[in-house]
Amino acid sequence: MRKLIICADDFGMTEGVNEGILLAYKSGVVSDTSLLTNGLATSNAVKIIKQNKMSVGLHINLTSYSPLSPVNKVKTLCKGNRFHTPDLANWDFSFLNKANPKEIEREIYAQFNFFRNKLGFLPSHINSHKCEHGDPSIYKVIEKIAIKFNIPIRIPYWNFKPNYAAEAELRRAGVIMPDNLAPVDFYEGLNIDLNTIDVFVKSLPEGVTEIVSMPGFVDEKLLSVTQYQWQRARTLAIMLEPQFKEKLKKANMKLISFNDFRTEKIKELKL
Amino acid sequence: MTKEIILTAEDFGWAKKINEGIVLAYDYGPITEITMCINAPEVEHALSLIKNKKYNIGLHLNITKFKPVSEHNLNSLTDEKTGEFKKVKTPEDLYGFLTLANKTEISKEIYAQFDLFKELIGKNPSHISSHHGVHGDPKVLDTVIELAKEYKIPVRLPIWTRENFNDFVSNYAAETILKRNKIKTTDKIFINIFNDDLRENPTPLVDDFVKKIETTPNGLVEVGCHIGFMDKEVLYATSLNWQRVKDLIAIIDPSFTELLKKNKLKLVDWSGKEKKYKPERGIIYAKVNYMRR
Repeated sequence: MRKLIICADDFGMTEGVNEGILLAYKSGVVSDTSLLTNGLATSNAVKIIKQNKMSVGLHINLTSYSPLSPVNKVKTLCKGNRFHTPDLANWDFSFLNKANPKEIEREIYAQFNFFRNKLGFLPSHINSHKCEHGDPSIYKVIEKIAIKFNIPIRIPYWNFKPNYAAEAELRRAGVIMPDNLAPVDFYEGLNIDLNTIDVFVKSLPEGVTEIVSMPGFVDEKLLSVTQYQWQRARTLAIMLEPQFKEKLKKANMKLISFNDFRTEKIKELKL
Repeated sequence: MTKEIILTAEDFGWAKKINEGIVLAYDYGPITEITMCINAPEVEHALSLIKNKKYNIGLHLNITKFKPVSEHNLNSLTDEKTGEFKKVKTPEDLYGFLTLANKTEISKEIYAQFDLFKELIGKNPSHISSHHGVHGDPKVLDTVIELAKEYKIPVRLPIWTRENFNDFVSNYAAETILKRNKIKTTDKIFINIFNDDLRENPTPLVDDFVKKIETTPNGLVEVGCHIGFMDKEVLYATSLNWQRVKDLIAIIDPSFTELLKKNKLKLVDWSGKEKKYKPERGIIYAKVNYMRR
């Protein structure tokens, strides 16, 4: 049996992104979303999540905007009062070599606790903004949280490609993870395509697959906070086409949330 | 002789986020002209954005969508139930609609839109164009020529459509009528800036534009751009939604300006004045104040 989790990332980035994700969530195409705790519109997102009882995970972010911790407590992660931004063109995250593990831990816990305090429940899963949890000094912290609370983690990738050692270590530690990941095509946003979605979905291996997506509306504000721009609008428009949903249905794919997945796993593994 | 390009933003007034995108690309980017649908739902919002600033704004005559502006009875043009213009979905619909339309009613509506434009904008339109290109039909063109002659207003080169509203071809007789009346127009028009199969093709961009321009003879060319941001309103109002965002981002990027320079393309408005502007990469990345929590 093949099951699908379609997760919309960056909830909290801007009001437009929030509104777009909510629309896709309500239409039943997006089954889970992940909250940025340091986005421009995080408080707006928190309000929407509460009103709509959404399944929502934690989108750890150590690479954009400002930390939740006081900057002087996480100095090695920052440049000025903002996080170091990696060179995405070369996927260069070497600044992490100099990051202090204690500071990484501090900031991850700050974001995790922010989530719990604001929403009053545990995240349905944990992932990260640039998939930086594929880095050992980051996934080691997230692993601890995941094991303690039985929270699923997104399969770690690196530069949109599989990241073997990270995945192996997390699985061996007993972290709950889906079986497969279909990452977003960052530059074109083409993992969500109306013409090919059925073929793509049918080609997926058995088990639970997470498809990463970044739907959203686009306004001037968004242009200043991310390089992934019109692609969000395109993804959203396609997700809302009735044909898209029909094709998923015809492909006999069961759409589940991370909450569903977690409950199943806990039962299965008697955790 | 250099090639001169008028870069026109289409659909001003249709939706708030379209309006915002257009004004941004005019202020910080290469847009030299805007064309405004005076009977569109967000005209008031559009007016608030251009208040106290100087923009080249033309009149986008529209007799195929939304409600008429004229207070006259326009039975041959409107749908009895909704009071809106009759729905035109295909080029055949359009031909049928214009064949049955009463010429006097068309003329009355065109004058009403022209007068309302002057009242709201406070000056004559910089040029006249039309939704679905209806001024390529003699029934519409005659009145447009009357106005253009009286007020010395340039008119968009008439074209026509056979297959669908994204695929226009030249329209010799209408072109000739314009030229014999000595009305200023361009030598060529493209209605989309990049790929013509906008609705389908997500891959950019710039190569399509270069190809287009390379095949263009010297002279004056108008290029229409469907640009804007996107929210729920845009998504439900038009089948071009994310595509507007993509094209907006592409033209405000400095690389687009460099491309124009490299190909010796001069940006001008309808009066022939060259547009000078600094493409600001800043508009995309540097507004750090937004990024503060």
